[in-house]
Order: sequence, then structure tokens, then C-alpha cells
Amino acid sequence: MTIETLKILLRFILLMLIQVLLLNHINFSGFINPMLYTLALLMVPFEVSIVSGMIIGFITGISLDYFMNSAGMHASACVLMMYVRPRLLKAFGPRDGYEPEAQPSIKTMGNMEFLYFSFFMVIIHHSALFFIEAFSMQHFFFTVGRIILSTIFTVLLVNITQYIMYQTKTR
Amino acid sequence: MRNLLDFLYKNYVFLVFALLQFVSFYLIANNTYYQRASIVNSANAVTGGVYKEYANANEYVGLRSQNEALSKENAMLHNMLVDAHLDLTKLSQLRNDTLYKQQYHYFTAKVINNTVNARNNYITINKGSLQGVRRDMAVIGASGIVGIVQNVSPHYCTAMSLLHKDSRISARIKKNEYFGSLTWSGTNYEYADLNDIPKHVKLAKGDTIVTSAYSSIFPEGIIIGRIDKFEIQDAANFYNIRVKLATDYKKLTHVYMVENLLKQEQDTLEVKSKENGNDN
Repeated sequence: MTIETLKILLRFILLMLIQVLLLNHINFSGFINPMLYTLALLMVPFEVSIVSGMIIGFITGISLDYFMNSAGMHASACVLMMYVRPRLLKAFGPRDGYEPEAQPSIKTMGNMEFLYFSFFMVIIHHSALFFIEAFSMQHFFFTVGRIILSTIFTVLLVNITQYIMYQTKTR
Repeated sequence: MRNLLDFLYKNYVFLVFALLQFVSFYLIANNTYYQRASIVNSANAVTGGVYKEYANANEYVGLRSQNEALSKENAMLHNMLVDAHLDLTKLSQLRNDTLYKQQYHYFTAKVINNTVNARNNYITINKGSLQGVRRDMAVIGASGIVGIVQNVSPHYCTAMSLLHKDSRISARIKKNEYFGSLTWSGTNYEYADLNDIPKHVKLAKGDTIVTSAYSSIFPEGIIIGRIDKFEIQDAANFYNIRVKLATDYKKLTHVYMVENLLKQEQDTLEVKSKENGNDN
């Protein structure tokens, strides 16, 4: 296990704890719940294969499900997100290849590219999550509103966190 | 055979995806039925431990308001004691304990995790089977009902909050005894909906809603909330009633677990009558 793998593992645990202990208790106007933990999955290194990615997503999701009593809802959403990840990376990732062990971030991809990449990843995750959670079309527009607003907050948080991480690294 | 292997090899990414989704949905489906215990819940040692440490650290922040609430409740309980009442009837009365059998057993517990913003909310509580918590026990707070115990581990339990898709509580209007079922639409943690009240009933804003005697889980007459708004749609026979919940789900800390000592007797009898009914 290299130092880099250890760092990634630590990041997963830290982000999940922040999610469970802090963010799940903050809710703006009652139903916006930002999911910062998706950042850990966004930053899985480029070279990780799609199958390993999905398994990592499943483990992350099911761990959160244990905390949030949501059965397999987060697991399902995370697996779906990791399933489309390589396609989005191809669309927004660096054209001329990347170094081994490099991770998607504003540093390796550029500000705008990472913003687009995180937006599409997060909206897929949130759409799956909130529709599975509601499990009906009864409050369709309420659920859609919830997805859009939560996506905006999550993407904002993810990019701000990225910016802070990038800042401290250059110092 | 060779073709099959080729097919599996070509599509293995999608197959892994489908397999993982299948497992997720299997877990979700198992959890959807309220009566079935779910495998994935926060009543296990790891998640319960994390929540407990956090709740311990966090408890100090709300101590002042908690103390106020507790002393208020103490005062209320003192008022209910027989010693606090003067006997105005002057009739001689015999009080014989053998005439009263205790039906509900209360004990205190602490909430160590709680959400209000999901469609289905759960509460994790620091008492488990070793302290006598059983499935389907009622959870009530100082000001009203809170939820129903769903999963139990040796030291923790999780309760389905009233703020849940599957919560359906038998409620009645205190002043005129009409009963209906209370559900939560998932939009606001302060309000729930009371259904099945026929339109000839006279209602007023502020009427108290309490638990009915038909539930084998909650004691009768525990406060649920007050009527906030009511209306009848054109051709409907029933009111749409919005109830402001008495419990503030945003600051739950100390709750009471209520065990109905006669629940099993009532349930067995009801199941038996149902079975007899089906035979005929």
C-alpha cells in the first residue's frame, strides 16, 4: 500500500464522517441536503478501471447507508455514478493523457472542466438517489426541485473544497 | 458454451453494474416493508458507537433548554400525582391496587442520531435489547409522540420517526372522538396530514389531536399536535387536515420508551379473530 493509496483512503473516511456528522444535520429550507462525500468518488484516480470504480462506489454507498438507515439507496446511486464516470472523464478529462496515479481535480483538469465534470456526476447521483428515496412519481416536481437545489449546493461545496485543498498544497 | 463465455467477457462491465444494482435494490426492497427488519441500519456497534460519541460531545450545547423542558415536565407530572389533589367529594373511597393493572411501562432513553430532511427519517437511540427494548415499542417525547422502534441491537435501537413514508398512526380529535390516520407527506418536518375525518364533523383551528385507543403501540391520549389548517375538496367526503406537530423533531434528545405490557395479548386476540373471520 503506497502513501498515495493511504491518503485516498483517509480522504474517504474523513469526507464520510463530515457527511454523516455535520452535513446531514444542516438543511437549508428543510430539504436541501448537500452530499460532499461524492467528492471522494469524483477524485478516484484516472487509471482506476470502471469495474473497480463501481465496487468502490458500492462500498462507499453501503457504508453511508449503514449510517443513514437508507438500505441500498446511496449504494445504488454511487454505482450508477461510477458507471458513467469513464465516459464523462473522456469528455472533460485532459486530452493529451495524464501522469500515472493522477486524480481528477481542478489542478489536473482545469477549473471549468472540473466544474462541468462534477456537475454531471452529481446530478446523476442526486437524480438516482432522490427518486429512489421517494419511490414514486407522486411529488414529481417537488423531487425535481430537491434534485436541482441539492445538486447546486453539492457542486458548490465540492468545488470550494477542491479549491481549498489545492490552495494548501501549493503553500 | 463458447458463445456464452464470449458474451460474458464482452459485457462483463455491464454485468457487474447490473449485479451491484440488483444487490442495492434487493436491500431497498427488503427495507420498504415496515414490518420487516432491515439488514442495513444504524443499530450496529460501529455506526451506533460513532453516533454515541458525537451525541455525547454535542449534548452540552443544549443543556440549558433541555433542563428547562425537563423541569417543566417534572412540574406537570407532580400535578398529576394523587397527593397534589384535594379530595373535594368528601365521599369515602376505597383505593385498591388489585383493581388496577399497570398496562404501560415507561423508561427514559437518549436520542443519539436523528434526521428530519430525508423522505424516510430514522432515530437512533442509546437503549437496546439488554435494557428491555423490543420491536414495535412506542417512542414519545416530553411534548408528544416521536416514533416506533424498528430494529434492535444489544445496546442500540433505531426507531422509525413519525416523519416516514410508512408511518401511519391512528389518531383522534380530542374533543369529539372522531378518528383517522396520520401520515407525513415528506415536505415539512413541522406538519403532518390527518386523513379520513368525514366532512360532517365540526372542526376548528387549534383542535388537539391525540393518539387513539385503537393502536396497540401508543397509549391512548398522547398528544400529537394541533389542527393548523383544514379544507374539503369539492366532491370529497373527507377533510384534508394539516396538523402542526407538537414534537420539535429538530431538537430531540431525551425520549421515553413505552412498552405496552398487554400488547401481545391484544395482538394474539386480534389475529385470532381475523383468522376465524376468514374461515367463515
